[in-house]
Amino acid sequence: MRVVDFGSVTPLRSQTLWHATAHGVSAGAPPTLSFMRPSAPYVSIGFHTPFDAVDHDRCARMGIPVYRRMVGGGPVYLDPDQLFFQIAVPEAATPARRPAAVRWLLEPAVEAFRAVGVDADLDERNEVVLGDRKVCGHAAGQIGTAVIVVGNLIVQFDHDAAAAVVRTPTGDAAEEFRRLVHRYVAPTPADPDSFKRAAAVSYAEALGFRAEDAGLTDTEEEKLAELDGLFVQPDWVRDGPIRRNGVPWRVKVKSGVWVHASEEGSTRVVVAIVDGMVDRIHLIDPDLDGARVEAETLLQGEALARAPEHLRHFGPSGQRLAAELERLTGKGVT
Amino acid sequence: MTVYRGCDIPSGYSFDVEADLWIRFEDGVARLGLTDVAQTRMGQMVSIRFKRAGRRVKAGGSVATVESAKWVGPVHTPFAGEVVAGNEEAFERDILIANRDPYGEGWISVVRPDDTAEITEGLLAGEDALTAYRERIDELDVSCFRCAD
Repeated sequence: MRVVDFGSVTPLRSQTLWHATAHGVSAGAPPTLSFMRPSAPYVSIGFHTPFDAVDHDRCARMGIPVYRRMVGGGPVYLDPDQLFFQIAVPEAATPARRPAAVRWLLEPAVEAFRAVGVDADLDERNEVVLGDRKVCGHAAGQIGTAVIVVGNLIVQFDHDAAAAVVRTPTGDAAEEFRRLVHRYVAPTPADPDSFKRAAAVSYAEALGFRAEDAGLTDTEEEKLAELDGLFVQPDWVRDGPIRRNGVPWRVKVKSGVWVHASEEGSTRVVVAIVDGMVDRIHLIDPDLDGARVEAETLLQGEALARAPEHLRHFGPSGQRLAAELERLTGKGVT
Repeated sequence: MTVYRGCDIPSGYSFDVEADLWIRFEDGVARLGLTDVAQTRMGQMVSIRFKRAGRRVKAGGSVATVESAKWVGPVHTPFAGEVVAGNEEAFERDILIANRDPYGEGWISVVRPDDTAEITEGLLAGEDALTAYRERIDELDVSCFRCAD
């Protein structure tokens, strides 16, 4: 197994380097574990993330670029206080089912966390957690015939910046998202060099190889130059799926933790959901009048599936809010 | 229809078994989709991007990318040609359509092959497909299941 430590690199290179190694593994290079830290903050969006999932005006004001990666997941904020690792292996070597393959490739990372004193677990949804807080963002994909899983050690985390770069439709949705990012994402201030050494050991053991320091192949260097050009093309960043009209906005904080928002006329619902329960809800309807606080308090801690039923007791405005809540959480809530 | 370890392997289709793809030939074009094994391996789809109609694809190139479990992966075409259509409408209505109905409403793309002689190369149908797919299912050690509503 090749271990490549790229050190501190530009934001662009902190994306293109590992894509190049995945292409290399696809072309026959050995399984590869790589590390790097970006030299400055930036935002990375998933291959299927709509372009407008990010607040581009705010990113411009903050002076941070946005790049689109070739693996999954949503918009994420990256900065020099995070160490990124990537493991690329031939697809044929991985378990057949994708969730199982991702799990297989995250388990050694969890071992590395533990080796540096972070009592992390891999939960049933493949989230690397410390208690109920996410401590490692991850994404995965197939590039050529290589499977790659990427993740991070969050030494320090700028929760406010991470929340601010995501586009939110309303102030209350922004505040809910910021609150949940603070609550459910935690840094683990372990020594990055120790983590790298531990990860090299745990991945080598799991994959059955000996870890050897190495650099890029000539093919990977060529691919890197190509990717450096591709990733800065405006069309590459913009050309994601279109967010369809009428589809309610939502954002994931970690598996099972979401903020959803939707607005229909003068009726608005913003709901923070934790494992299928209403963590907090904001209800706006002109006819709800003084019952707003009562309704919001009643629903807090209630099962999401039962919330519309409760809302319908609040007259015509409750009916409208119930319909809106059902619309915005109708499908895809996990 | 043959069911092996819960995986449907319908008759009337050709298969690229290694790629977990089905192909159905219709008046000079080929309709492609994920097999029951593919949708099981993938898990619940959360997103899909289609190569636009009119675009050219190489043999082994991607006609779409699908995302599940934060994993993005390609849907390959086994032959070169021109993309005629992608099944955007069905997936807009129901992103799980390929999980629920992989051989019907959940088709992925229609491709017009460049060379009709090339298109059956490497594809299996009938008993050959059944035999090869049974072996693959055992090799992968998968049992199929579909999404419930």
